[in-house]
Amino acid sequence: MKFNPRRLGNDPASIALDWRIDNMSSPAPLLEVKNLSTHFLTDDGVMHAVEDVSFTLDRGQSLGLVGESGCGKTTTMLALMRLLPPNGRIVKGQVLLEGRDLLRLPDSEMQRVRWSKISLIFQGAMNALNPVRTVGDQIAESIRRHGLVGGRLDNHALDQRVRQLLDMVGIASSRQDQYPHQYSGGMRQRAMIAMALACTPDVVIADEPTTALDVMIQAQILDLLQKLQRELGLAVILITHDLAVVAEMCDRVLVMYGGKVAEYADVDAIYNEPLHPYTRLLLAAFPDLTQPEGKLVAIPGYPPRLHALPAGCRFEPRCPVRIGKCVTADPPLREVKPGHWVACHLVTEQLPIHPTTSLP
Amino acid sequence: MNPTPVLEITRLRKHFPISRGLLASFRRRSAHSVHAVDDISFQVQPGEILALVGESGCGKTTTAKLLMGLEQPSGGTIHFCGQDVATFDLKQMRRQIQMVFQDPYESLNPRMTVFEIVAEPLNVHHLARSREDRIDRVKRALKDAGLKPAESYFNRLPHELSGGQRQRVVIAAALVLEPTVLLADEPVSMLDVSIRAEILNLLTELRQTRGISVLFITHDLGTVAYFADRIAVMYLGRIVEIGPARDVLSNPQHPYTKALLSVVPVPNPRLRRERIILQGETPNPIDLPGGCRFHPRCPVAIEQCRQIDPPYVELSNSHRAACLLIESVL
Amino acid sequence: MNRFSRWRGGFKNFWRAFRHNRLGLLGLIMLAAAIVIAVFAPLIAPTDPYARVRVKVEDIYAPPSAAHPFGTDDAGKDVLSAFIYGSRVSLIVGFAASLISLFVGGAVGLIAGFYGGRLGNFLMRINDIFLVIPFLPLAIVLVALLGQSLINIILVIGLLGWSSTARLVRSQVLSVKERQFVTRARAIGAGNLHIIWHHILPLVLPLLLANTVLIISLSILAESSLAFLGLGDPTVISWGSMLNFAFTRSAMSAGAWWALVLPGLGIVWVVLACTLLGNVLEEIFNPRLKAHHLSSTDKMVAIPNEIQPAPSGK
Repeated sequence: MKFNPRRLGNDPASIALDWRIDNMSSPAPLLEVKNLSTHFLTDDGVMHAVEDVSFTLDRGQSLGLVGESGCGKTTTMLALMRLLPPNGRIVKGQVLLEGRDLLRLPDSEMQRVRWSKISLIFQGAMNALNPVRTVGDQIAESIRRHGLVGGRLDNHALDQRVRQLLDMVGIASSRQDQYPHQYSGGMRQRAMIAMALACTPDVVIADEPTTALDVMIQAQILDLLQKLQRELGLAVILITHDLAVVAEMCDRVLVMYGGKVAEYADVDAIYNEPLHPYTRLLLAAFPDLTQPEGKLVAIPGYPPRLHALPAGCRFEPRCPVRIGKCVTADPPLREVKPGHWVACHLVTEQLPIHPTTSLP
Repeated sequence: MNPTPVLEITRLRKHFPISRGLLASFRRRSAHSVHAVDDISFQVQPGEILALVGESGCGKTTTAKLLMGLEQPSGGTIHFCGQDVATFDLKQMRRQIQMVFQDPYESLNPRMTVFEIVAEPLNVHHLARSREDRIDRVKRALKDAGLKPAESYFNRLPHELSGGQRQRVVIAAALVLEPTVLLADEPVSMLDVSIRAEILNLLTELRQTRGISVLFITHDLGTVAYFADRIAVMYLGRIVEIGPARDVLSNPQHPYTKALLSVVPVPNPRLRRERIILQGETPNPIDLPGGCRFHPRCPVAIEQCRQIDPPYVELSNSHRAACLLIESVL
Repeated sequence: MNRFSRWRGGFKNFWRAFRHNRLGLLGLIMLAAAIVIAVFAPLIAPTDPYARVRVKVEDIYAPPSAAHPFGTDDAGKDVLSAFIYGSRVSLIVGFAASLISLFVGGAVGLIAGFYGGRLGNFLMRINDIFLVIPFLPLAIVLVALLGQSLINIILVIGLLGWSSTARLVRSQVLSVKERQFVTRARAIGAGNLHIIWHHILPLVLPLLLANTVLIISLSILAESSLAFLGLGDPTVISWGSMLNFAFTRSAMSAGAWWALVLPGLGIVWVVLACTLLGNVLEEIFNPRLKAHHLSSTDKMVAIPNEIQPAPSGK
């Protein structure tokens, strides 16, 4: 694999690092994650936060990472970006960005990948802005830190770029000299998006971007993300617990439970032909405004404690259709239909569901 | 003959004075106060679930505080079962209406056991006749809130419980005084999706088992569809539309309601619908626009909207909305 | 049953914090040692430093020997015994004065924080005055006016040391007051006293405890300073008074380092113990002091092929 930096002029927006990959005949996926596994070392023992997570992401595609609190979705993304806390360990897996395994890069290289290739909008991002610096300043700083390798960037060009970014996210450029507290919640989220786009990444990971926002502002932000995705050709990974948002925004969906992948398929398949019992129950627990006649289903029980995981399927204790094998054997993730992966014994072995149990 | 509503609010107002600097108060004569709640009226019938829906800044939280006696109204009246609240003393009022809060992690004192938390209202109001009586009432409240077996929860501390269990403890503490109205402020928005249904179903059940009415405050229209008998939509301190849930959801009249319903995400990827995304944000209640409060953001505003504050138009079946563009059916 | 299981749970957290902070444990041991010495002074000390003795000239500032492991002082008395008995006064004054600071500061902080308004502002302005005026000059003046007795010393140190506690308590009360469970208590109909007793105090006391340990060290230092300046109670022996005598009676020129070093070390020992202990207590009770994990500069460099061995113990 050859590394060939090319500078395309002084305009920061067009500075690019281009590396040619030797055998690049077919369009490989932009991002390929294989068997990513993460552990945390805590006082109570080893916490198996994420195990064997695999997925792919093409250019311009959006992936929804869905699951409830504690299922490992944020940890997966932090591991991908190598931003785990000191007690976290990535114990297995590959993260291939355009063929390069990010997990095996030296730290300095990873610094360059972060933000200029993949950027992340943190959960609670609205409160992550530095209150004592202007918004424009903070965006400029992220460009200065991550966007350039060698070469000078004059202030004028930097200023232009900041204006351009603010404009892209719908903030009047006159507001670039204001402080975060002068921005509303929705505007701060837009500022965070602008910051994430500052170095023209290929992949943007948005962790719960609209939680805590009003429904109208949420609609505005999602609309903005979709627009940016189209115009800039971004690949987006949307992490959320909100199934409805995923249905509106994403092409493919990864459902996580207890640190593992439960189901991974196109959005249409997930919503109209869900196969994993957890997915089906989750969909039934989610209100649909257009169909208010149904009853909301609750999933009894609690998510597994990641210190003391059962030997079998992690969802088994709460599963309405479990069988004996589910207690002893952890179901592997299998592609049961083209592009549709499920980790469930009943599905992969096409076992019949016992007539006395039921799934919504 | 309609039964007496358990809760009746008539032209309720709450204005917060703004303290302005000395010079500023000389310079401008405009707004001296924030009209957080401005002339709202509604009723809650026995055993009914009324949802108060709106975005932040619409006044729903202030309304909740007024109902709980945590703030005093600037105008208007509140009646519980026909009696004016002004004649109650504060303690009496708090036995009529109890509140369930949004954050199950913050609503419980981390150092109190579940028993102490649920018994606290009894102690404050000196209601328990004896130790056994207190234990009995706490047990009943925990049972009604779905925490069984009740005794096993007595000595647990909040951090040992899950979010859903904590919220049930809050509900039990609200039930122990046997109120007629339960005021739930975003009771499920901080819970996992799979747990929400449990709590919502519990609130619905309480209607049956205890005859309690529920005033449900939220910004999540999706949940409201399943759950509420009637819906009231608030914007900038006013109720812009109110009516039976089915009617408001299937036949919204006010442009704001229509916009809100069109942007609520729906878990159906095949659904294509026209989304009315309003520009900008809810304006600051300090700078209220003249005429209809919604007109600056309204996609269908006409000239008169800028001058006239629209009155309510009665539609069928106790469904009414305040907009100049609605034609009355009656 | 419930109270004990709660305390047991609390202790578990306690010891876990000490495990992480060995220095805190050290501080605790050091302080405990000092207290033991003070309590059992009559049993430990070889001689009674208050007893009258006849001394010969060679007994004055005699260097350490078998009979006097730390030599003798300017009056020919055993330095070690004086040191052991002196610990009593230093510690008693330290604890008693900090108790006063605790109560006054706690009460002021509680009232100012909870009720606020004009009373709160007034109390905080008085607090500011006490914070601003330097301690030693004011203490000297007060002791000179009131007279040099142990009670007066305790009062003076106590009444001048409450300001930082008040400020701490007030800010904690302010933050607890805003928490949702307090709002919920009000919504239930609880009055102010109920809220203060059941909700505010249990969350303020731990912080107060942590702060008190630090106040103790400051009080001991204050007593030593005053005694060193000759303002202590002349009828009792304290470490400060030992230093005072050694200083004013030319221990250094006599080369009698033992008369200075031991009391000095004693003061350092106790102050250090309190500081170390106070730090770990603050860490336990003030969760906001814990650094955020992303602020650590050593980021994880992934070494995927090396499977980290699981630590023993599940």
